[in-house]
Formats: sequence, structure tokens, C-alpha cells
Amino acid sequence: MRKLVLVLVVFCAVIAQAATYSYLVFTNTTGTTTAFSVNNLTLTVNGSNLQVTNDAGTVNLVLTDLAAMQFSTSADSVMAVENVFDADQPVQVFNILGTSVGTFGSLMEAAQNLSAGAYVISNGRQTQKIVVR
Amino acid sequence: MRRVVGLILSGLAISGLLCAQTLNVQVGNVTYQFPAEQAGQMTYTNGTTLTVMGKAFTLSEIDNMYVDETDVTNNVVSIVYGASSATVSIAGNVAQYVTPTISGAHVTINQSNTDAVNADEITYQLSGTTSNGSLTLGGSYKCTIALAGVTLANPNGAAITVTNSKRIQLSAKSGTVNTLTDGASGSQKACIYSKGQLQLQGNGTLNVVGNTKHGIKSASYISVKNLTLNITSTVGDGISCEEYMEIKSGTITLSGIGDDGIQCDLGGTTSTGITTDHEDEDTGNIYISGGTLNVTTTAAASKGLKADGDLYITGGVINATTTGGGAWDSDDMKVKSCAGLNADGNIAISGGTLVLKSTGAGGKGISGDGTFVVSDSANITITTSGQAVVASSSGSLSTVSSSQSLDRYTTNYKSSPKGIKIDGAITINGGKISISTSGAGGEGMESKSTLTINDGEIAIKSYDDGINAASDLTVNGGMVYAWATNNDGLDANGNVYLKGGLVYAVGASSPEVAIDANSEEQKKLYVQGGTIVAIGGLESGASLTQSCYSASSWSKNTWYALTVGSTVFAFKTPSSGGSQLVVSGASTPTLKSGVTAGGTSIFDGVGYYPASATGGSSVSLSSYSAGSGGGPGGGGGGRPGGW
Repeated sequence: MRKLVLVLVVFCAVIAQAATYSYLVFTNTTGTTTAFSVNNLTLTVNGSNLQVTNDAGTVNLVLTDLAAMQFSTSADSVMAVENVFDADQPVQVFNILGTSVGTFGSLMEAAQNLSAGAYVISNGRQTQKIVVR
Repeated sequence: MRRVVGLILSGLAISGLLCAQTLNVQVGNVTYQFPAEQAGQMTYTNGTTLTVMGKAFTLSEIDNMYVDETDVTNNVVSIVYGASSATVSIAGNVAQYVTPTISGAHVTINQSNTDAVNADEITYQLSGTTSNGSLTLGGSYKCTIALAGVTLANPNGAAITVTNSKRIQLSAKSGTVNTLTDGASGSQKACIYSKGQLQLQGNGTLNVVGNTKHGIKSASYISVKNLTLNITSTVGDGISCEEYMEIKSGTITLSGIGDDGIQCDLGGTTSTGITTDHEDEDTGNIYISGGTLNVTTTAAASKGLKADGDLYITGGVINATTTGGGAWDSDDMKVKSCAGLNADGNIAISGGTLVLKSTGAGGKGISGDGTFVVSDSANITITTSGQAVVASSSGSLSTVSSSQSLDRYTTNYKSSPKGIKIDGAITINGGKISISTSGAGGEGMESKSTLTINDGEIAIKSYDDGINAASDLTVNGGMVYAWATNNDGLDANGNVYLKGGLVYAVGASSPEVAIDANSEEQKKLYVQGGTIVAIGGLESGASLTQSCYSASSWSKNTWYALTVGSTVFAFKTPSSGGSQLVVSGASTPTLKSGVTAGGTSIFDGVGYYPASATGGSSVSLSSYSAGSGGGPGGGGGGRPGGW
């Protein structure tokens, strides 16, 4: 059931995203891409790093490793998530108050077991906000 | 698995649906705004440079970058002034072409594009308030400065300086009031200075104060459309430009002006002549086709409008008042005086309503070096109330209150308060002209060449000659009323030809006459046609192809009716004038006095034509012979006029 809801939500989102650039995708000099949601996204040059902050948290990117960045609607963001959260990587989940609600073997597992609501997930290095419906 | 994660995160974007994302790159007080859909690939180079839409940023100089949902309008650069600072926002599509420098609230922008961007020019939109700020704009391609509610004062220079020599649109946005003030004792040429063509427009209001020199100055042409422009104080001209000036519409009010209201100079050394659509034109001409112009000048010898070239008025409303007196020009060794309108070239007025007043010594309504043509629907009212101004050999000025005293001065050493003073030929083909002068030497309308009236309506009450021509004066048609309280009604130093139309002329007592030709130099009055009433008689020796008749006396301030055929001309006699009343018409006229008149009012209420007249008593008319009536004329066909 939850999967169905998720699919419907995403379906609607994809349709509506036709003119919406929800992600900023970075490409490093090796060709690897990293995507960030643009919600409250700020980029700050901090010495040799580019500090990327959005609703999900903060990530530092090494400037000399960066080749380009580009706004993206969705496709690039999926690739980016792979880089931030490996499919089989354990994640810790927090509610919006910052209280841990558990650790799951993967993001998929977390999504299947969480109640509807907004959460922040972390793999220990990076964080990302998700909504379960 | 990947697919599911992607789907979850994609769902997060729902909150941003239908909103445009914009990357803002902030460098100091400048924010470059790149819409996501335009940004494309933004490249990093060596960890030191970020290039977005052709704009290269040194990463270490970037204060912040963030994404928000700001709507960005292409080609717009927004400048917001604060008390001691200014912020600049630049649309991403023009970021690579716009280099701003900000010092306090002083903004300098260098624009580098040499062609349109996205098929348009760059617009600099100004807003905010500062008492110590400015805009300096350089570049080599046309652009727009949009005033969006800005109050900008620069205590040390111009409020706006445009060094770009291309066409600049300065537009006050609808519903906004904008005030620009420059500093006193600066070196700037104006509060608003543009090296390039300046198009003043917009449906908003622009207030300008020029504390050092002009209010607005362009080294090229200036045009005005729609704008409400108030120039409230200047040391120099209200508006000064070169090449040409064009007013199409809008409301321009010039007050507190230190020199001329509007002055247009020839930019180069030789006029290009009028070109199609004024393309590359450099004539020094002023063109007015619409709008309302209110101008008041107070300086000595100042002009409401002054054209180095020609002056063309085809429409609009012009209210020009000058209050200054005369001035001695030591370069030209000549007395100069005020005028509502002045042109070094020709003047042509075919439309519009003009109300021109000069109250200072020597002040004129219209003066020009070239020809003067009035036609069509032009409506001109002129009042001068100053006395004549004269200069001693050393250039010391004084006023005189009698025309006889003026005769002692040569032309360059006197200036008289004439209604219209033209060096070239005057031709009246239509329109309505009303002139009143009350000071010494105040001729109503004077040409230093020929003067021809073909149509239109002219009503003049003047101190000196009503209408004066240095050469021939010809009336072919139209309606002419000229009452000179101290000289001739109509006067020519050449011949006078009356061939048609309606002429009502009143001259002062002998030796002045109603209609005077220069018989002293073998010139002559030729009465060949038209309907004529001459109080004060005709110049002796006239050629009367059309018979004339005289009444032995006339009553002052009394309505008379002259009937020629079936047409009646009713006229009110003046309070003073020469003793003889002479009339003429295409057929033998009859005359009644003491009538009750009606009909179409003409001559500012002094006549009706065609008229209806009832009552009254018949006036006995006797045949008038050229040798028997009239006096010698005033001053040998009229005194030489001073400038």
C-alpha cells in the first residue's frame, strides 16, 4: 500500500516537474555526479571547499574536484542519491524533532517501515530529508 | 531499489512545483540571478573560477550562492538605493555584459555588449532613496534607465551620468514619482547628463533639480513622450541638447530656470538638414507635436525655447513666460532680450496652442533669424508688457518708455518688447494670432523682410506699429486687426498691397496713419481688393485700384457695421486713433454707427464677421482720393526696429 502511495506521489511530482528544477547536480572531474535538493539550498565557498547546505544538511565538496554543476528536474537527482546513499547502506532515521526513530539496513527498508511523515535520514556522512506518505 | 529511492526523493520536490528556481550569486552588494532553465552547465575551473552563462566569477570573491524562487526578468538590472549603500541585482542573461562598481550609494556600471541580448536592450531599473548617491553608466550599446520610484541626490556631482554615446531611454515607470538632484558647485554639465541620444518617456513623474548647471543635458538629441517632467530649479538651462529636440507628448514644467527653458544647439559645425525620421539628424531644430510645455524663465535675455536651427510646432500646448530684462552681449556688442520662443533658423507653427508672455524690458513673444510661417490650426496669444531696453556705448543698460527716445539709439543698442520679431519673411497662411504689447517700441509683428498674410486671423493691439515689414507687406486674405496706440496700424518700409481679406487697421493721430507705406522712398500703398476699415487714414499717394470712402469723423468705443454686398463686418472703434475713417470693399460699402452687433466674434471681441447688425444710424461716406487723405505716415515708413 505504501509503495503504491509513493508511486502515485512520485507520478504526480514527475508530471508537475516539467518546468521545475528541483535539484542542483554537481559533476566532479572524474565524471561522478552528486545531486542536492534545491530547497533552501545555499553554496558557500569555504577555503578549498564548497559547502553545500539544504534542508537535508550540509556537505562539503572539494572545489578542485568540481568540474560543473547544473540544475536538473529529476533524472540526474536519482543518480545523485545513489552517490549519497548507497542502496545497501544502513541509514539512521530521525524525526523532524531530531529524535532517532531507528536504524534500517537500507533506505528502501526504512521507507517500507516508517509511518507517514517527514524524516531525516543519515548514513553517517550525509543527510537527506524524506517524506513518507 | 534505486528506482524506489529516486521516487521518494522526487516526491520531495512537490513543495517546489510550478515555482521557478534561481541561482543567486552574491558578490558584495551585487547579486547575479541565473534562472535554472537558463543556467545550463555551470563550469568550475581549477577550483578558482565558476562560470555561469558566460559570467566568470572568482570563487574566492563570491560571498554567497543560494537557490530561491526569485522571478528574474531578462535584461533587467535592478539598482536599489539606500541611505548610504546600494544593491544591484543583475539578470543572468546579461550578467556577462554588466560590470558594476559600488561605492557607498554611488553605482558605476560598465556595459560591454555591442548588440542586443535576447533581442532586447538592457534595462537598469532604479528605486530607493539616498541623499548621497549616483548612477554612472558606460557602454557602447543602447539601453534603458527605468525609474521605478527613486529619490537620488548626489551632493558632489550629477545624479545620473551616461557616458554611453548610444541611444538611452530614460523612463519613469507608470505611477511612480522620481526625484533627481545634483550637487552645487560641481563640474557636471547637468543633473542628468547623457553623451548619447536621450529619450525621456514613461507615464510616471520625473522631478529634476540642477544645482550646478542644466537640469538635463544630452550631447545628442532629446525626445519627450508621455512623461510628466518637472524641472524645478536650474542654474543653467532646464533642458539642453544638441542635434535636435522633439516633444511628442507628456507634460513638461520648467520653473526656477537660470537660463533658457529648452535650448537645442547644432552638434557639429554644419547642419545635416532634416532627415527622414530624424535619422542621424543634426540641425539644432526643435520639433513639438504634442504634449503640454509650461516654462517660466527669469534670467536676463533668457528664452523659453531656443533653437539653434529651426522651430517646428504642429501641436501641443505651450505656455512660456519670461520675466527677465535685457542683457548686454559684449561679444556681439549688442543688446539682447528675452523671448518666449526663439530660433536662429526658421519658425513654422501649424498647430498647437501657444500662450507667450514677456514682462521684462525688451522681452518678446517670438523672435527668429529666419522665416516665420503660421498656418492651419495654430493658436498663438502673445503679451509683452515691458519697456524697451537700451545700452550706452559702454553697454550700460537702461529702459526707455517712448518710441521717440528709441530713435536715438542704433539697432544693436536697443531692444524693444515686440510681439513677434523676425529677420526673415513672415507668411501667415492660417491659424489665429493675438498680440498685445504695451511698452515703447512694442510692435505687434515685425518682419525685417516681407510680410504676407494669406489667411488666418490676426488681432493686435500694440504700442508701436501693429504690423511692420521692412520690405513689402501684402494681405491676400484672412482677417487682420491691428491697433497701434502710438504708431501705424500696418506699416511697410516697402510697398503695402491690400488684395483681399478683411483688414481693420487703427493708427495713432497724425503723423501716424492706419496703413502706411514708405512713400518717402517712392514706395506705395496699393489698395486692390478686400474689405478695409482704416481709422487714422491711409498713406498719401496710395494707388486705389479698389475705391475707398471716408467718413469725416467717427465715435470712440462704438459699434459700427460695414456692409459690402451682402456681407456685414461689425467692428468696435477704439478708445483712441487718428481722425479719419476710411473704408473700402469689393463693391460700394455702406456704414452704420451705433449698431447692435452679433455673429461670429473675431479680433478678440472687437469685431464680428460675418456679422448681424441692427439699429444704428447711417454714416455718410464720401469718395476718398489718395492725394487728399491720410498723413505722411510714421517715421518714413516706420522706425527702424531694434532687436
